[in-house]
Amino acid sequence: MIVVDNVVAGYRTPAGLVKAVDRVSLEVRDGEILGIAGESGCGKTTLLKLLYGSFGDGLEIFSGRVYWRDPDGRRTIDCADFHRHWWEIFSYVPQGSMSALNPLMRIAPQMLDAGTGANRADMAARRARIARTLAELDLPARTQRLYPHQLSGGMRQRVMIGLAAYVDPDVVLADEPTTALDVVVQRQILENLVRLQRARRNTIVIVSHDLGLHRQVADRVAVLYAGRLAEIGSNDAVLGRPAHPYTQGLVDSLPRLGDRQPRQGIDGRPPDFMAMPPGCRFAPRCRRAIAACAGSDPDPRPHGSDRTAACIQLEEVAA
Amino acid sequence: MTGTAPLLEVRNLRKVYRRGGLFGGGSGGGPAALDDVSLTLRPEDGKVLSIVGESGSGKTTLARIVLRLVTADSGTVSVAGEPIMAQGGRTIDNRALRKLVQPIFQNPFEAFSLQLPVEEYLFRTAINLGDAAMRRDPRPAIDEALAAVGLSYSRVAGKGIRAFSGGELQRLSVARALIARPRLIVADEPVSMVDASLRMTIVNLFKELSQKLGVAFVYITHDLSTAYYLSDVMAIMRQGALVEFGRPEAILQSPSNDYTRALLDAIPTLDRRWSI
Repeated sequence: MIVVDNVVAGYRTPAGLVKAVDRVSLEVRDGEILGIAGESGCGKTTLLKLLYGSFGDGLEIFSGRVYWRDPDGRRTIDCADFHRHWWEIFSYVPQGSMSALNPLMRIAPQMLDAGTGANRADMAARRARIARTLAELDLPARTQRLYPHQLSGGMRQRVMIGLAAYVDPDVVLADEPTTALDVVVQRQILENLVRLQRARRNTIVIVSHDLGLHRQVADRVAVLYAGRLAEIGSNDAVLGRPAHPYTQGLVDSLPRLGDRQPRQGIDGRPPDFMAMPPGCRFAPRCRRAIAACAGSDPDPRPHGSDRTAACIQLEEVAA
Repeated sequence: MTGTAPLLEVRNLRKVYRRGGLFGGGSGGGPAALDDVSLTLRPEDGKVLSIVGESGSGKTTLARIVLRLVTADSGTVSVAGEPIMAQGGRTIDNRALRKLVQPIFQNPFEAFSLQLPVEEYLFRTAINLGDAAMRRDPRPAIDEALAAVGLSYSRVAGKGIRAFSGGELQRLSVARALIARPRLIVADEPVSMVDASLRMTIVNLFKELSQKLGVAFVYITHDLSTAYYLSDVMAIMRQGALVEFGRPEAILQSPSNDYTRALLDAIPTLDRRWSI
């Protein structure tokens, strides 16, 4: 389990602190697929970097704590030390990663290269695991001997997922893993990912702006807005019966096949991290906002048995 | 030009991108990007034609040929009864073409220069394509176009693209296109770079403009859901060929092609969950 405990994190800039994640608390539970949703610039990728312990680009935790606890609860690791356990416990599929393969190396040697620090199993066993993982991802055996340019975008993305998964980490963190792909290929890859997760019983966190994708694969869904956690809970609660006006707005703005009823987007755009509105950050765009919203920036509170949401006037709406 | 002429008529369009250059291995032809594509949008069918396809389907090539940014190998294209291209050759000059057909591109952040104020694009379009009165005083036409997309001149004046969100820039792209008072606007993936919460505001704008101003739209997209929502007529393309053409409801209810069914099944909607 990864625990995010009241964390404020972000970047120092000449203009001041950018708190891309602001007073966020959540758990990533063992063996679940957690989806993280929200518009661009709402803190999704920063949250994922915290879960991976990736601080190389100047990301800092200003307060609060992120740590991993093993299923028995006997061992905890602080996120400052996550990097010592990359590949062993955590692996990461960054955004746009299908362009990250070395163009001059065949696939199998690239995969063998990964995770050598943490996982020193003998080469024959690792080769066997590579072969098995690629097969699980519906890639032909000859893929191992090919160069990246000989693969389609979908195949390269599968190789990246294979790279993150073959060393059998406890947690796989994937940032927009299918964004650049066509929907038919996207469906195949998501099915691969879910089957792989069921076979290995590991934990997956997927960041995506696409609520439809989360609806298909996630067990639980977290929705971020302007660095704050707006709503988190079961897939059916958050996406089927959203309670936070922001989630409702996102769900309402998605057109459905077979339904030509007029649909509205959410007017405006997320606030600048340097100029946050007082009180609830969504209030300026919220259709249900009342005077009290400008004076209150609530933390998520339980609403029903399977979600928490951060709004002073929660009300479920059937999607 | 008569009132009953098709808004867009494409006949037997073919396009093969020649391979060549350093690693191309001579001038041999690759697969056809467009393989004998014909389609018609008649005024009685509606004002919005969606062309849906995945990467490599030929949808963007078709859009670029209608905008005459790419030359077809053979075939003809007419807009509002006026031939703009026949057998790969142009039949009207560029100024006449741009008064008939206007583009909206995928990435609004790349459609405008970082160095110019965005209003420059509005004034240039008015001066290049407007009539004598508009050339003398472009402001009324610019104000009218900005009002049609829900913006105002005071919001825009003197500002560069950094002052705008993707959704606002895409509105500006639409306003710029409207200044030319075109019969047809070709929008190539206009909302794929726009946040989901704002997509519908742009899509709704197309719908509203087609109804209020009578301008026709070709909406090029990989996203069947917005195409279904917006369009009066829908075309589905695959590997350079038209595999489906008709009213969206009819295509959804009884797709005639296996590929269409696969495409429909693969869309991650909120209504149903896949069994994995």
